[in-house]
Amino acid sequence: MFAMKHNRVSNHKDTADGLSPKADGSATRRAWPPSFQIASHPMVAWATVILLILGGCSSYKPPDFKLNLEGRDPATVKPVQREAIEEVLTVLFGTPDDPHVPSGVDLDLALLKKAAGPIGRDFTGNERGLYRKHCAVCHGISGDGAGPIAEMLNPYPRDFRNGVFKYTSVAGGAKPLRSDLLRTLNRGLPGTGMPSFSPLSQEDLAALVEYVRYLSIRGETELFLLRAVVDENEPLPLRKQFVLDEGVRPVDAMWRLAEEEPEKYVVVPQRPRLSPEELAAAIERGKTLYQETRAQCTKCHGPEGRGDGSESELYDDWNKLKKGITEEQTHQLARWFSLPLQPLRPRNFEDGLFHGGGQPEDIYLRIYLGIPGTPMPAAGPAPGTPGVFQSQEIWDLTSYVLSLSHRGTETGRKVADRTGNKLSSESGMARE
Amino acid sequence: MNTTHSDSNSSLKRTGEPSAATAPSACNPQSPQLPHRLAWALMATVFPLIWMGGLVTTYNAGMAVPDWPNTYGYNLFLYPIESWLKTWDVFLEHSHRLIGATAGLLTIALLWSLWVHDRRAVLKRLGMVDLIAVSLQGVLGGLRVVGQEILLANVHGCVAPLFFALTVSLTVLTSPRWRYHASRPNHASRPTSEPTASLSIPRVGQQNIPAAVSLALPLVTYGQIVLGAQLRHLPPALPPGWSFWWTILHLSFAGLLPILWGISYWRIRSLPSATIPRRWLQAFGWVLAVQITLGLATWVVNYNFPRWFQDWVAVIPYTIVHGGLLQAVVTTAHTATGSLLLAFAVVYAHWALRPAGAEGRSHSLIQRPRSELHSG
Repeated sequence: MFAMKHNRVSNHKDTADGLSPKADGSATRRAWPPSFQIASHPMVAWATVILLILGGCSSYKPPDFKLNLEGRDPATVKPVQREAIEEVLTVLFGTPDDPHVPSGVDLDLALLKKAAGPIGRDFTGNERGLYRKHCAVCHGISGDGAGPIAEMLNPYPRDFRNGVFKYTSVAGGAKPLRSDLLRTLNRGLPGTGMPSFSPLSQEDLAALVEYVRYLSIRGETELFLLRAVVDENEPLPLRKQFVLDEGVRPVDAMWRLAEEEPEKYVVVPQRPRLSPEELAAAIERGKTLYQETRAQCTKCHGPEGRGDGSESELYDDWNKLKKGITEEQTHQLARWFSLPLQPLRPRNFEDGLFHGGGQPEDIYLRIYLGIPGTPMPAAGPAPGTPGVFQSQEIWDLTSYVLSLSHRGTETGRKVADRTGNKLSSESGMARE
Repeated sequence: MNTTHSDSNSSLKRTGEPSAATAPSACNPQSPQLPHRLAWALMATVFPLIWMGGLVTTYNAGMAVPDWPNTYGYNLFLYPIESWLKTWDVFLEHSHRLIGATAGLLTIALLWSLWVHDRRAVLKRLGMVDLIAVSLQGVLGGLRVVGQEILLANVHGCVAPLFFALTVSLTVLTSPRWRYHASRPNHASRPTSEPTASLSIPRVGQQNIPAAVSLALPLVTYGQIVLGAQLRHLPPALPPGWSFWWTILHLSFAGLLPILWGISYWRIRSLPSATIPRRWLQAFGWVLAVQITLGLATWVVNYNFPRWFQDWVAVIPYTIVHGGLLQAVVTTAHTATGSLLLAFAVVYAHWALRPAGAEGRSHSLIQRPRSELHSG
């Protein structure tokens, strides 16, 4: 319509050139292609001016950390409580553009400064804003796992604020090592939206790891404050020393645990080198263990490891709070969460897809340590608990799981045919 | 003058296509091809510029250089080469600026050539709009840096394809082929056996190819680019949900484009004289197929295979590599091919909507030498 209307106007305006002489010397009014007319319309000039004004008015607005109200009715948090929590957190941890480290906390401020702030370089060429550059679009500014594209991902990005991480090498509920987080960053999580950041430099990766730890320590302190102030009516204003002693230091201590006592908490897989015969025996033993009731593997993963166990409704810790008893309750609860309810599915071993990595060591650690925050339990010994299985049994289970995954692929089938359904050396378990 | 025209016509009869020397022209016969060549040069600069801009967004390198219009305090053209090549994101951003500056200079040259060598006033206006667009684009890019404003990066990304489309439009309109065909009846309007058609007052929508259908193709393509730009420039503090709806819209438009293409093709498939728009439409179809494939690949290299794919098709243990070559090339190619698709849609729309006898008889627009004009 616009083009058609303007067509008539422009024909009149362009009289000097817009009339094409006919053979008999009279003139025919000329019409121009619509894009031509639109582009030369005065509206274009106006749009230009408006855009320039818009551009001139805009300026950088630093983002804030969002208060963690996941699963809470916002009406239950009084404004004065909210202000008190935000104030003390800002004093202790700073802002997304200017992070602080509370005294005595095991965080490297120089690395944090590199990861924090807006994306870009300063005039000396030093890069900053690495977290926003590489992570925030999924994990959000606050590390809440509810970044702009989070809803499109399955599983959702990790919410760092609970201090729970799925793929670690530590037992007994200790927090992950820096090297655990670094490994996840380096390798990514296959089959998920979590990429490998291997193209980044080691220094950049170290900065990101530090910032994730920072968000996690800050997030756990925030949860402590919410419990203290909202649930237990801690008197306001909050004393900084109280928050440091009761909130920050215990969290920091948990993060130091595995770093300072690795021999107690860190599990180091020692992969056995097996002959084909030994491997076949290990797979058989693993199969028996898998089907034992004490392991409860079949409950979720099914008798054949196809992820079709009797537990049909599974949720991780971040989602199970969203699940009500009735659908109506679930619908009501959804208002208090950033992301919709997302069910969890046990792994189908035949797919050969393991989010935490498909190497024998990865499977071993998943069975040994479980997957924190999910229904996958830890089966190995930990400080204070003997464990369901010992190391040798876990390796047997690993061999069995890997043999199933190889059966699910074309290569695996060929290998299975060749070896009589035995795990091949391709899995890395067999002695070469 | 008459002799020249007669020669031109005989040449056209022999070859069936206009040559640079013989094409009826609205230009100064001494430099009939200059605006067209400059428009081509500009187009050939803007497309790599869009690629480079896409890479800047893919690598989040828009703020790699903290100042503007200078680069780390240096004049844009005097920034030391070793510093330029030292860091990847600085290389991308500074290269983007340099190619942008080249595009600006070429736009000025194009406008000058249109002013001097082409008598078509509306073309001169279009050249001016092109210059305004490139200036606006430069300023938007600069303000995005100075203000650290992602919204401006978004607008900057949306204006780029518009500027490219304008440049493509100028390239078409200054081409010998356009001028040649402009002197003949519209292929799409009436059968060529009706000579009066070329002399009638053309009206958009009167032709066998409905104007709405022809215009819808570039408009929906551009809308799709704008939607894609929203997904490429998500503010980090944006709540989840927005991107979900942007994605739904982006996918809807992706579904709409093949339908529009099919309708357009169906409408002109039987028009014997619609050869040129049909060819452009076919080309658009091929580029669209490539673009849809790239779109699917872009999803995978950024978000991995969706759950439904793993459930119903295959489980592929793929790990995304952030900033890897595959991710960068596929994502940026999807962005750049979007602009290329718009270019094809614009060219198609020009030919499909070309009014009958757009320039009347070509010889009437040949700018006669001053001496000849005086002599009568």
